[in-house]
Amino acid sequence: MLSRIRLTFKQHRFETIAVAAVCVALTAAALIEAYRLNSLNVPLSCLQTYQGGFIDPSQGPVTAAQAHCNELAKSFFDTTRSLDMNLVQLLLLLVPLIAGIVVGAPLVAREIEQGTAPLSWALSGSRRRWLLGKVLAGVLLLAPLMLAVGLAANVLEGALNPGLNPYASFSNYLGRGVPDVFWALAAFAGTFALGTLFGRTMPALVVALVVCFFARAAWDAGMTHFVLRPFAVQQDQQDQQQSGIVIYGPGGSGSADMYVYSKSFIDGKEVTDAQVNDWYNQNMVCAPMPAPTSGASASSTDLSSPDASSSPGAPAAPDNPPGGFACQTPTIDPSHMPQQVMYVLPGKWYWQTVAFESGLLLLGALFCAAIAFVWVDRRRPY
Amino acid sequence: MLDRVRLTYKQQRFETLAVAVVCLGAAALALLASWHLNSVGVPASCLVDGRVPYWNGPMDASWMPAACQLPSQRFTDALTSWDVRIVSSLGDVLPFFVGIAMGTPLVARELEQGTAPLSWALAGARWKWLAGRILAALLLIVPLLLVAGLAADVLRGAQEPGIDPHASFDYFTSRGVFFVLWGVAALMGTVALGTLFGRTMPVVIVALIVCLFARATWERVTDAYVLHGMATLEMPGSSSPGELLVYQSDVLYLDGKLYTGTDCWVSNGVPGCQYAPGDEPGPSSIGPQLAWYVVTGDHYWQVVALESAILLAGSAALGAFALFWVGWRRPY
Repeated sequence: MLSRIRLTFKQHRFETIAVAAVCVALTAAALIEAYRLNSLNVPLSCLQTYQGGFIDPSQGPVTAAQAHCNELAKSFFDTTRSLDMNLVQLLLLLVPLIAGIVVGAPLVAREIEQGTAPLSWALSGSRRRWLLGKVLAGVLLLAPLMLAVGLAANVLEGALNPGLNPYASFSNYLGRGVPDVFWALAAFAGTFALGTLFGRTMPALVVALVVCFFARAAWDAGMTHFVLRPFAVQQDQQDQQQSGIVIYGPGGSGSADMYVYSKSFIDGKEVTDAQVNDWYNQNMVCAPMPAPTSGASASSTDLSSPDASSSPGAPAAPDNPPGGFACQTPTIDPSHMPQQVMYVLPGKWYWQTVAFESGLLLLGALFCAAIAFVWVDRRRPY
Repeated sequence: MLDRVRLTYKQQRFETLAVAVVCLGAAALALLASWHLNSVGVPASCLVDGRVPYWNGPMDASWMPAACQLPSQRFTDALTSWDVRIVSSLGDVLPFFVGIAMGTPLVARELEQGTAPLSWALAGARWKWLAGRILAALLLIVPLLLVAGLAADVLRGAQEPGIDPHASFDYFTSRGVFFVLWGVAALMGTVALGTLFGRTMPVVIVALIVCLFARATWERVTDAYVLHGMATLEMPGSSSPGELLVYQSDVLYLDGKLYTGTDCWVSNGVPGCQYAPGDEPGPSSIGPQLAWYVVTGDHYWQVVALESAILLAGSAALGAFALFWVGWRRPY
């Protein structure tokens, strides 16, 4: 078996070397980026009070310490938005799937395509044993490399969100840590199963890319809507106000809990969103507001803010509509106002959730591998 | 030449079919998502800066007039639904997928399978053989990507109902003619790599990495080197929908003029103020601010033409390299 594994690496030396080089380089790059952020030594309080490059004059004269704090925070946010950081984050998201596909596509398909499969099968004694050797080689290559990438991604996540424990937070939890290994294994198993079915490299690759894109894009929504919903619990008041949400920048909050759904209540009675709307319509008065003028604009049009962009869908600050409407807050006892209760998976359930979702990915990978093992025995050898 | 084009489609029938199905499927999904968004029917009076106000739940959206709340909620639900989000993100991957899927087997597979020498002999000249294959690929992907790109433009128009997508730089390199330009560039790059390596999987791997870097760095590079000279100064507080922020000024402005006071300063790109007693600005003022250099939406077609020319020139250079190299390389 050992010779078969060695031979597989030799046969696929370009893919093996390319995947290893990319993973090692990415791990190093993620650790370097994390080191760059950590070495800025920005106090968490500076990140929490950072006002996007603008110090509000209404808060009184700016002290030298405040100005220094703001500069430090700006350096931090400039680094998080730098091109190299964006590239590393993008690669951390894509590499597990691409590595799995690149290693899996030629594993079976190329031998069938080039006509060497029948000889290999005859020399191995059994087609399944032949496939097992190749699959083991792929797993032995991918698992440690992806673990290294995932752990480096965890370190980077910790540096990007100071104050947030990456092992007790659902912030980007599927794009780092152990799930990286299982994404890669699922992509690998799915792709070599497609290779066994098609017997051609490019078709296996093309279909695998499409399937993986849709699977990855739909996974979060699917899990939240269908699988994790029954497990969600009411968010702890303390979590909601303090430890659950770590605010580290303007408009940027890293939530340790995973939001699943919410319910609204008025005077202790559960109500729909439409009923909450009606309540506000009855109790609030809104009027159009004149457009802001130069030099005296509202903060939502503050272009010096690093978050100011022309991106669509950016939430407008409710108390500061961008030149739209102004409303009068009702003078009602706050306890009688509509309350929203969030149902979440608490950050402390990180390991249970990761284990559960990794288990699902592993099951999918095993299912695909089983199809490949059944099919390789039955398929025609060309 | 026509036979060679037809033969190329036949040889690469899986890739041809896959590319056609994916492009037409993506275009259909984008149009469906646009219809989904348009069918909400948000009144024009509810739009703020041409966009539908984002619905953050009834408590947070309490500042909206009653007539706008339900449309805003429905629109936000549609906008954040997973199908619309997936279709919206296709613009960043589809052209590269199409270019790489069509370009990889074009040369590399024939060399890998050892059929290239016979094809070259039958074609008369290697470059003529390659030109026929490239032409076949272009004839397939250009119209398909144009359809998908125009559908992406329609979707952008539906996502921002009050903004003309052809006068807005919002995601402008991930829609419209850029679908075609990215696809052609990826195709030419992949063909060039195919003539260099002569092996399918190495070409796919290197092409994926190169395309990823090219796409991720494109906007930063064009902002820094191409659009830098075109950008005009825009005073703080004034902005137009769909404009492109190119770079930030390094001095402060107040009330449409350069700030000459001594109460505020810029240090490491951060403005700070320390007002003398009695000089504090009113509560509605945010004081002197840094301004942005921007390209406004009415320059959309000039910018698109400029960036298109750069991408096309790059594609042509890669194509020329492939045509040159295929004549020199060993036939295995």
